[in-house]
Amino acid sequence: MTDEVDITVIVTGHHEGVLMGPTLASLCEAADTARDDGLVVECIAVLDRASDRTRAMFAAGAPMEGVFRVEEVDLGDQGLARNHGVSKARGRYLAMLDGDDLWSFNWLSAAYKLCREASTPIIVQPEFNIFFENYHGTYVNVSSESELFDEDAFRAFNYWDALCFCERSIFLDYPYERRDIANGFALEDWHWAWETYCAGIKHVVAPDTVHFKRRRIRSQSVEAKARRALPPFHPIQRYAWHDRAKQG
Amino acid sequence: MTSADDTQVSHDDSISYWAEALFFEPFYAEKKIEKKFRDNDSTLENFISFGAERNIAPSPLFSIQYYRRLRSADADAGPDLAKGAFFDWVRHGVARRIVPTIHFDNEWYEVQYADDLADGQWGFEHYLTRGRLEPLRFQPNPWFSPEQLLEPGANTFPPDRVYEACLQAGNKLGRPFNPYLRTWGRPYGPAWTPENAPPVEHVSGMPPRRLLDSLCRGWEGEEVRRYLQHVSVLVTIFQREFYVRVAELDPMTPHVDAFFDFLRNGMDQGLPPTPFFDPDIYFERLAEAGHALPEPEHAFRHWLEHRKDHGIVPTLLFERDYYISQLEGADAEAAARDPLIHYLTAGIVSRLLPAPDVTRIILDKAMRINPGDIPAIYRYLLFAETHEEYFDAGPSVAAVMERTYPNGVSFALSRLETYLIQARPTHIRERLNGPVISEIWRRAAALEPRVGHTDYTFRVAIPPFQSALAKAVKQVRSSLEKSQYDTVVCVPHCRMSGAALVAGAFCKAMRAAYPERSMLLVRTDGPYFQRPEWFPDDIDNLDLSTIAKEVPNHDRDRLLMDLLIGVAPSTIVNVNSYLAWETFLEFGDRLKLFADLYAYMFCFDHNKKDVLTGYPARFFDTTIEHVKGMMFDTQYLKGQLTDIFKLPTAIQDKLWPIYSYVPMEPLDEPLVNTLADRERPNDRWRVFWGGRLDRQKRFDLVIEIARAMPDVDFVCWGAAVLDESPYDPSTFPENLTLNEPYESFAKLPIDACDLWLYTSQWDGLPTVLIEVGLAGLPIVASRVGGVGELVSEETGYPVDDYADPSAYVDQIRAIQQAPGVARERTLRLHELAITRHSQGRYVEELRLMLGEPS
Repeated sequence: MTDEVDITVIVTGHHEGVLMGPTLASLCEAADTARDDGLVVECIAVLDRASDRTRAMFAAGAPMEGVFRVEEVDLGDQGLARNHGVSKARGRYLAMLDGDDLWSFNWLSAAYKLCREASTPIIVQPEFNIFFENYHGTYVNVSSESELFDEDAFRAFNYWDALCFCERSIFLDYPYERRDIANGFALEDWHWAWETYCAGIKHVVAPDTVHFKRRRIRSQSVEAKARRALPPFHPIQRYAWHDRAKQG
Repeated sequence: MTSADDTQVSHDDSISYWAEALFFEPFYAEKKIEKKFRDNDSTLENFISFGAERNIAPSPLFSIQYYRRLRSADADAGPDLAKGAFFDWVRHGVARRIVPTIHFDNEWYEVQYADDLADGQWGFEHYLTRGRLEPLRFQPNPWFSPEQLLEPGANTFPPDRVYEACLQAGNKLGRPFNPYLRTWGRPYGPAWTPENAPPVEHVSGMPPRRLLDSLCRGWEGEEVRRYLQHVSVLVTIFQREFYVRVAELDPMTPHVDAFFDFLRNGMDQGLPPTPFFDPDIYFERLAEAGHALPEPEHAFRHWLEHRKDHGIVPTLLFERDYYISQLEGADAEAAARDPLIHYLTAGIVSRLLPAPDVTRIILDKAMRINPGDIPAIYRYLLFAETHEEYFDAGPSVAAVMERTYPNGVSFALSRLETYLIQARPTHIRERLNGPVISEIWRRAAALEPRVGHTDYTFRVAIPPFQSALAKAVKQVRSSLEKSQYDTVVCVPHCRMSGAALVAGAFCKAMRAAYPERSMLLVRTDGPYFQRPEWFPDDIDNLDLSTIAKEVPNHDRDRLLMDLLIGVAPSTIVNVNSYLAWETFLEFGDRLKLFADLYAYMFCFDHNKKDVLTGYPARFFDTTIEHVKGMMFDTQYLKGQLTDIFKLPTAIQDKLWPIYSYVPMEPLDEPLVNTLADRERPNDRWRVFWGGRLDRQKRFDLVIEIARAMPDVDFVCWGAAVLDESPYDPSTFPENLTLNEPYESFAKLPIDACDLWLYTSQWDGLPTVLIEVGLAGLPIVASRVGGVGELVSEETGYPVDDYADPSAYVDQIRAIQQAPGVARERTLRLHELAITRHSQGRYVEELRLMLGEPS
């Protein structure tokens, strides 16, 4: 084993408590699958104003003791917590996971393979987001190169959520915006998708991979929606951007 | 009577003559006529006095669009055309013998019935006035023959109007060719062709001329029946919604017109008549099969002629073997001979599928969208539903990998193909149930049992189809001339209303104050734009309301937000738009980060319990924090709001009473100058009143006042708009006449008016009173809201006890008894209206409020 880390996985935790158990287990399973391919994987947990119950998941005597490098922060902001994880990561590639979602076991190795095969840096999304618990349904991710991708539609909804896989340098170049719910701005993952797309980075889908997304009755994104939050303003929202893109 | 009046009279006679000749009541009665004008009145008179100027067609034999298209090439087309196509036709079109419909073949008719026409008589006129009374003898064109339709018991069509009735019935079914097809030898359309109707031979055996000639040009030398078979196929598969987009016709072009456009122009230009014919695919597959298209043959015509020989399916949207596998026995054999045509003629009606794995349930349920949200092309392709807009696939079809047709129109089917081939829900369900994802699922469920399947897990959302908003934002952006506007003005719509008048005045003043700033007018709540002359000529104008209808209610403010962020204005102004108020309420804190927000408020409404309601009640306190300036047309509302909310100075400073002006020149000689000694018919004074017959305007008081003053005539204009009219005209006193609402103040016979009466229970400062002031007429008015700012003891005859008829009577009597005093007061009113309600002053105040926009 070398010191070089291929993949850093960053899981963020807040008040999930034991709900984090299946999340961490799925993460470990995906990490082990990647390790079976000979990859070096490091695991970081960023606990942002986390509850004691959540912290206990990593404490001495817990099954996950020692598996994760635990970063405790006092940010109160999902995007900034992820940025913090990025700053601590050593891997060439990063993968983000929320504390109550699950990955398919093949996610890390499939995404890694796509990145290695690509001639330029890309951002990898799973093929399916399957929602469970209080809402059930399947969202099909499409690539930014697909005919199903539409730049106008991208102003109306976010094609891709934040749980992606890409080179660390992309996260360093395009950190998440601070969430400002009090002033009506949130949805930092949508903004991040705009930012990276406009920078010319392709969003690509890894076939046969899944993220299982827990829909709790009250989740942060639900709260943000209730306040009719918008993503921070971005040039892609200006019609002039589209017309320029059309012209040239 | 002057000669000009004579002209007028003879013109009116022509209007009645032609209106009577054309008018087909069942057709007119079905048009979308505002209820108040339609009730019990779908008559010829209603058409002449109301419908004609609103371009409501009197008959299926008068196509407004078709006539306008013919006329618009003429140099003198303009003023009369703007008054209404029918009037223009009577005045200009008849003399030029313009036949205002494609359903009548004048040239053929005049040759066929030459002996029946009086010298120089026009065929169309003969048909309308004489020919159609004998439908078996006189045909409107060579291929419409009504024998069967007129057989006893065949239907209930009126014999002298059988052709119009057929056209109307056909249009309603979206299958307008039935009357033609019957003579073409192939009854079509289960909806109204009698069972087992035998095919009717063509009456004279001659090929249909002109229109069909253009279709048949490529088959010259062949026998006619063969052309007609091709025509039958073409009629069957022609898709109006698709074709009008490909050919760039007006989206509302009727089916028949679109079809003939295809015959005349489209086919020669290589345009496909249906999404099921893709010229590129046809070329490709033809080449693969080792054939070539002979020059200069058109792909579509070639396919029509040769499809049974080579069996090529010219589209990706249809899979031959799959389709046939759904059928058995004779049906399967018939389908195998001509599969695509079989699908389009029989299969689509039986809800068979053109390609595998696509069902209604999956689209309705798996995509989790309402049938109304399904991109319309799918509805047509998959379900053959009759729906006006079924080819309107929005973002799904419009943007990527477009195919350009020979007339330069681009059209993208490739995204649709991608969807059908790769992303259709059944395909995805198969993958979700396949070995890889099943294994993933099994392992995930071992960690977290709740990830296990439920039926709902298979509700599949596929971008961008899951979002109605996505489609709408694209439509909005692509319908704008520019990417950026300095000022956006939101109005609900532009109808005959004071608010629309003020909105127009505001835009004109903005143009005068800041000529270099680009401006976009957005109609948010309704499509109407009845008075374009109220607005600057060069303003860009968007009907957002029609696009917004396709978006769920709760997302409409996001649609407006997308527009407002998109065009990056520095100033946003709301003049009475409900959607803009909602958007200010919801997103004002973020809008103000890049634009200064302004809004107009006019007055509170009063509900039936006399509680204050309306925009000031709902939106003042909730948006004032975000708004930079709130405009009023009275001092009164500012005072009222200041009092209700106990406003601090800083907020009061945001409130700008700016007196409105109206687009009317003041009379040089105020009418009141002749009040004392003018001659009156029967020596009776005439009092004018105009307004909505709604609760607010208190027309009941006018009736009482008229009863109390039998020696005075009350001439009124108005209709109920918000409420049901409670008034029964038969109970009106004899000295009161009620006319339809007037179109503009300038059109009133104002010279015959002695004074203006105003009876509202609440109001701002109605613009009509400014107009009356500019005309120099005395006003008796209830002193409510801002009315007192114009009508005071100095300038008129205010009534404080607005509910007491006798108070108005007293003031009217005061004018009658002392016309000299009335003149003095009215001259002051006239002066006030000219000086205070002027565009110049308005512009100055606007500049003061807006300053230099940031």
